[in-house]
Amino acid sequence: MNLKLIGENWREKLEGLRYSRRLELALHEKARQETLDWAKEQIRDKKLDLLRPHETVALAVTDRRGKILGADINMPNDLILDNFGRWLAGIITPPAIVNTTRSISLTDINGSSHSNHYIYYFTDYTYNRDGAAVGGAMKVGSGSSAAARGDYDVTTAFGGSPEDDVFPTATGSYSAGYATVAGAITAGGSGTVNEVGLFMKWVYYTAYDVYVMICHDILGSGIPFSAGNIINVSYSFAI
Amino acid sequence: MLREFELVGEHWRDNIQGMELSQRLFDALHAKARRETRSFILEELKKAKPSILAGLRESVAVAVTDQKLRVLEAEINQPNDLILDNFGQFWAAHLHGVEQTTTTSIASLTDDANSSQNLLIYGDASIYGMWNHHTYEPGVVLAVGSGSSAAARDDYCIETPFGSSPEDSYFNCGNGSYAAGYISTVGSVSAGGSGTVNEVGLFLKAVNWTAMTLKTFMLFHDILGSGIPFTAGNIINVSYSIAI
Repeated sequence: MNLKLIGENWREKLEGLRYSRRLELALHEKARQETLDWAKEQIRDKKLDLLRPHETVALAVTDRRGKILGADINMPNDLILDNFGRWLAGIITPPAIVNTTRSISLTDINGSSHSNHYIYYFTDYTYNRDGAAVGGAMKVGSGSSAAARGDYDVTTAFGGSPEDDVFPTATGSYSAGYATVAGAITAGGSGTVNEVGLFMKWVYYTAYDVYVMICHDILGSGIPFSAGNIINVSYSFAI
Repeated sequence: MLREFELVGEHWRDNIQGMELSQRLFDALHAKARRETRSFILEELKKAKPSILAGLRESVAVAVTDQKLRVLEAEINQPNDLILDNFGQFWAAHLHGVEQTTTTSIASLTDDANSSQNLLIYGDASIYGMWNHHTYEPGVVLAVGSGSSAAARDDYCIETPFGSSPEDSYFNCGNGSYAAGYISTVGSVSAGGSGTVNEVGLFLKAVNWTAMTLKTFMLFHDILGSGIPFTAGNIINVSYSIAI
């Protein structure tokens, strides 16, 4: 039976529940519904060019036994970032071209732009070669400024370790229109999570690997954590 | 000046016949497709259970022109078309945790012969089975056809290819570009025969990991609002736009 998060106090009702796949799905469903409601308002007010939701993120802070201490979803107007758009544009390359001339420019986690991420190539330049560690990662922060397309890192990283840094995602999956991926980190310090970023670690030039943020989401409300708590993050892309 | 290309009224298709095909006209066609999609979504939202929880959105514009690029007819996709399972599988395999053994990051896609193929998304640069190994000339191509059945998530090929060449085959698109939330590309083919375009597809050519052969995978499949006829010598122009 599917879980449904209804009513104004749905966040409070989650506290003490065990964090599960079922609950994770319910959080994404809630985020999508809020996004649709928001988009409906935007369209009716002629504020939005096109309804284009996007990705949703669910975050739950749990104790070591998996019991929820706090959970939330992204605000509905968040964006997939320019970096993702540039990558997908790079995929769209005709096969007859000399592909060594086709590279994309992405902005890394430090705000530096690198123009030599190659999509179609076979040596150390290729964005997805694993001589460096490549793949998905996440990062959380305490910033609550609205997300913007040009963002490249969380606004305010935590001071405690390891939650001050990126952490790897698990393996992504796809089913019936949704691509999803999860990740978790055990906090060493304390703070309040307000923002989440999804990153890809991709290669440019000769095997330089960098973290590139492709989604930046601000939560509906801050979720506090303390040392030993587990910060669980789940992203879902609707296509 | 832009307003002249806003496509309004019932007869917008008739109104653009004879115009010179340009990027501005393609932009106007995509804007029209987005407005229709918005209307479609609003209608859906009135239902108790909307059939869509919209995600990434693509739109396609097709214009048949003469050799001087004067529009004979143009059309846009039906608003309820879908990005396909193949794209979802491809993207999901990119969401693979950093530091893991990346040779397990496999995307399973269905090729244009309805056969399942494994693509290696992350791997050692020396592996010839990498999905994007350029020796095999991977990349993106387009195709058109006359089929008009509704698109479905698990579509894998053009429903009804044309009988004449070269419009019966894949043709190249240009390099994709990105600006302000939209990814776009265009491609065209000069018709050798005649027919009516009802469907368009965007395809990824990628390398099978173990067989190390190039396969073709449909990522988007769009049915047009109405068929666009063409004759030999006409140019079939296709423009895709993806909103993120």
